[in-house]
Amino acid sequence: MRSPKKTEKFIKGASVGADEMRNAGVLKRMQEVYASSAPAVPAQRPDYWGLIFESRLARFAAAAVILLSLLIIIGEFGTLVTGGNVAWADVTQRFQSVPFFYASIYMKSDAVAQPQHFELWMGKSGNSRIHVGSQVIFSRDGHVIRAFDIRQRREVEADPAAMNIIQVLATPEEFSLETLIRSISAGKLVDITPAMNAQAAVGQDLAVFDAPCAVSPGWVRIYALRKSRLPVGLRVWDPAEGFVVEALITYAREQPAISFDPEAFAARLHDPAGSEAGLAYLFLKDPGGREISPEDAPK
Amino acid sequence: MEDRVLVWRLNRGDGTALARVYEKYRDDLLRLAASVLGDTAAAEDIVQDVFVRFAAAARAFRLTGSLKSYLATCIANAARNDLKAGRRRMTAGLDEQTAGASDAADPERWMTSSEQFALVSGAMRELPAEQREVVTLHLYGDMPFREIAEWQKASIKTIQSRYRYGLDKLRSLLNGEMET
Repeated sequence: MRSPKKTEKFIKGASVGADEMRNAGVLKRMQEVYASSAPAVPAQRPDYWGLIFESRLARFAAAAVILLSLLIIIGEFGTLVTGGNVAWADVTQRFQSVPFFYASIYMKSDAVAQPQHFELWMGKSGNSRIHVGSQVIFSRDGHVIRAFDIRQRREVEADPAAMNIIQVLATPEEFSLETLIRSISAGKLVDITPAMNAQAAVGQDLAVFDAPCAVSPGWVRIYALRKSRLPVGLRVWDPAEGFVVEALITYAREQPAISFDPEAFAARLHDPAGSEAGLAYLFLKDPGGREISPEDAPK
Repeated sequence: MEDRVLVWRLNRGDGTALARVYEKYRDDLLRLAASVLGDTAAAEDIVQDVFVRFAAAARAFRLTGSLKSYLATCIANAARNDLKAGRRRMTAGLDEQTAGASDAADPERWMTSSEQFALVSGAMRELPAEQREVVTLHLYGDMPFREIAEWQKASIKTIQSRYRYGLDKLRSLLNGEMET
């Protein structure tokens, strides 16, 4: 036991405990002072845009917020693009008619960092499935049901970043662009409504909207199709650090129910004939009709 | 990452996140405070006070680094002030101040120490205060030397030296215990 490492280990291994009754007392006191610190006026809605730009570490969770924003913008863009010709009821109905989306999200914490890639399949029924690294994670209504490591072929704890995305996606409160605007109008953003950026749009079939942030030099850019008004891409960019999130969104018919079923997935986990790629995309169908799992692909 | 989401939830009025913050950092902060102060009762008072103050400020709290480092710095500041004020004594059992504190009325202690922690804590008392702060902030507060240097207003090299000397002394003090 001569090395500093062993001394450090000995010191760190010296444990303490805490009496449960006293714990409850301290926690109760914390809850009381927290409750008494509530403002007299109704609390502001969460500042999602602030969260996006606030910190590098917060940004993984912010990806989920971006997706939520996108979902809303699906409904809102009609109004923004056509200047109010589309009735709100139509917009809402249209938004509700999108049964499923897939998002491929790349996030890079700074200019020299390796990007992290998330694939998210999300259905109207509240089921979602995330593929990140060697993990496939199933969740429902914001709660992780089961997570699997397809390399180790066993059930694991879900990736913390993915888990946080799932939790944020499950934010129970009503989320709308109006909420977002109210939140943003606390002074975080210079321009609340994403403004059309004609210079950034090369083709006439693409509308580009920018929303700058006042607290950092960053901005969010949303690419939408003019005719369908569907947002198809999004880029969050903070030039101060080179932080970037890029998302490609596609819409399609909902994936088969079995693709969101962790039990069905678990039953195939130990199949020696199944490859890692096969497991990563097991039961998923490409909306274009191609098979995306190598096991399903024509030999 | 989790801490960011916890703070975010607290900012938006979700008080249930307090329980997770408390559960996550309670033991390490108790170890930190007890090691710096050498006095369990005083450590309990300080840790409770820091958690309560955090809860009071949580709605407007802005996290710019690690939450654990932030809380550890709060503990270290409070402990330093406490020691400077002379209200606590490094010698165990001579704490008269706790007689008037709310916790002292409760005969049951909040913190329960393992035998190993009692040994470590005893050895820590032999270190100069600055070395003790560096070792405990680094090992129990997970603070990088750069942050400790800012807090102690010293260079990183000085902090690294303090850590090395402190650890060497602890190793010699605990050597027999670590062999068993």
